[in-house]
Amino acid sequence: MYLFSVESKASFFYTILIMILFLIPNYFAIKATIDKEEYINRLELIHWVNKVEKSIYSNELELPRSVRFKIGLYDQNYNKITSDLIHTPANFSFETLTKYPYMYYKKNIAQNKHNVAYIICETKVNYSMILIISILLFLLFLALIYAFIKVLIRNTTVPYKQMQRYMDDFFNDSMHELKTPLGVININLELLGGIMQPTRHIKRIQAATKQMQMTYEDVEYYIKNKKVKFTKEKINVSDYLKSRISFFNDVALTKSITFTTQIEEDLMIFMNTTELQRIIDNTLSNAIKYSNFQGDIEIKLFKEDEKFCKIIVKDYGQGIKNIQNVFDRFRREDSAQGGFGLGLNIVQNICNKYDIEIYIESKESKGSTFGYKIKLDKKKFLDKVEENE
Amino acid sequence: MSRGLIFALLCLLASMSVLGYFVNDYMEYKQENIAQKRMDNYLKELLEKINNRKNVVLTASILLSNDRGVKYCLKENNRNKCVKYLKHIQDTFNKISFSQDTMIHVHTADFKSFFRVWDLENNENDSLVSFRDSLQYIKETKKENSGIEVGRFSMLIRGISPVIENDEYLGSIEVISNFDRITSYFKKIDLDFYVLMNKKYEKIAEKVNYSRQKKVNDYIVVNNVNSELNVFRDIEFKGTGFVKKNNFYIVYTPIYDINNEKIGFYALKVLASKLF
Repeated sequence: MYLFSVESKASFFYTILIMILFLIPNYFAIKATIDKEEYINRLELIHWVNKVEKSIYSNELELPRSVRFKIGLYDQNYNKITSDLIHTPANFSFETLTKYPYMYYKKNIAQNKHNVAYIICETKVNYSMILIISILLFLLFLALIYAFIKVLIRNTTVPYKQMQRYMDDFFNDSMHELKTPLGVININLELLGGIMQPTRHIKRIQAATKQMQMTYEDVEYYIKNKKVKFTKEKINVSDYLKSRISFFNDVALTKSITFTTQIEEDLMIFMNTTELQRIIDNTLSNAIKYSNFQGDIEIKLFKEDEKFCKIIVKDYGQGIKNIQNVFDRFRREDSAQGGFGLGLNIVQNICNKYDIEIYIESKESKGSTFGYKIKLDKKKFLDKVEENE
Repeated sequence: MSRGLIFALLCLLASMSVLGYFVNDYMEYKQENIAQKRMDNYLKELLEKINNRKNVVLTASILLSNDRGVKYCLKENNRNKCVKYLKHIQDTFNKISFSQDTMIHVHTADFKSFFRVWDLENNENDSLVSFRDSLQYIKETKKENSGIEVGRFSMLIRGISPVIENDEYLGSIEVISNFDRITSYFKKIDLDFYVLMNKKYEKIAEKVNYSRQKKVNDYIVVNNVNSELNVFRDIEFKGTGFVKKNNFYIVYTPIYDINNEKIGFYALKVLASKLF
């Protein structure tokens, strides 16, 4: 909580800092452009007003004419003598006034026979240039920040990336090195089972090997997850669940745990087998791991409605203290039980991928229940045709 | 494509669109600014041409007002004494390039037409008092003046000088010019020049028969310009301004008479290609 607060304060501070860094040059650039535009327009207005003033003094009957500048002549009390201003300013207490898109310049002139005291000149202005500069500066600044951050990140993450690469290589090599001996052990155990009646020791070796295989498969999935595309297929979840229960029977027997199953037949789902295996295996493995000696594990599979089926795995073991953190990667409730803490994180990622709802209920020393609500595979027209055949 | 990249591209696209809009707006403003500067130059040139013409007719009227024959004519109320001379002068003026298209009109002291040199068959001394305010001004001030005014023969450029002998106001002499020289000057530089008189003065200019083709909205084109007048149909003339049409601009500015009354508009049709 404290860390989060410090982190958000820091990001807020840096955001403000970057904003200020952007605003300072932008402010000066915009101000300079406004000043320049106003200065140019003001000069032109002054020039024109002087022309008008000159014609008033020279007793010419006609004022200079322009399509760019509009003129208003006023007496001492600001009563209009003549005016072709497009918009008359609300008050006359200004020398230069900008009321976008018009700019005004007022000049007080000496007494004359026409009784003109004030000349007000109007011209049209345009501030698009200011906005163009502002947007260009903004884009330039964004590009600079982007380049700066990219360089910064590249430089700071180089050692971490290197470390990550070493770790990946290490994992890949380790996995490769483990796969062959694990295969050899499995095959030989199977052969041994064919030759002789399995002893207690062989059963223990079989259970331990299965545990090891499951851990191996978790890690393998974790590594391959982002590299390999897992294709979906139609799975008879009922049969598949039964086969996984059968696989874990040996492991359960080492703790004299009994499985009580209630499995509805021929429920079909549409997902990848490896991913379904990860969900089932991790749930069953955890249930076994955290069950007490001679405990009982209830496994149910049933159709909830037309669209969904549910897998429920209930154990009567030690339960989970903190349900909320159970899916965090590398988190283990009881480190004495071994493992990497990857299993449930993988389960959660797969469930998110397939929109599978997860239910967890747990009470300390009473046990835990894990439930998965999985979408059933819809029977399509061609499937029916196939069945009929 | 990652979400970040899509977001960045969308931001870039939005920024470029906004940027494009403002660049376009600014370019249009700059272009209009250049066009307006050029239009101001044409306007300045037009007013200079008008003033030159005013000066020509004014100078001629001053010279003639001091002629003894003219004074004698008015004093004796006998036009025969100076008609020949003035006819000769008018013909001479029309032979000289800078004073071409000029006419001479002599007025009595009581604001009646004494005779028009170009219309000698007319012996009627018609009264000008109701519409020729400039004649009253000349009599009051006893000073020469020039300007644009509507008379029996249309809205024209007029230079008027008082004819005075021994402090006695005998009448006034007027040298008149039409706008043909200015029209042909602008035609030479590919600009159409129009002199628009407000329709309410049509009754005064009773000696001229304006064709329907010369009338547009509240105005009558009084100069000889052979160009389409439909361009003026949707223009609301008001002060000095301009209107952008497809490939040309119409620049206009009001014509004021001696009483500072708006009696019409000068208009220039300028091709857009001449402004950029």
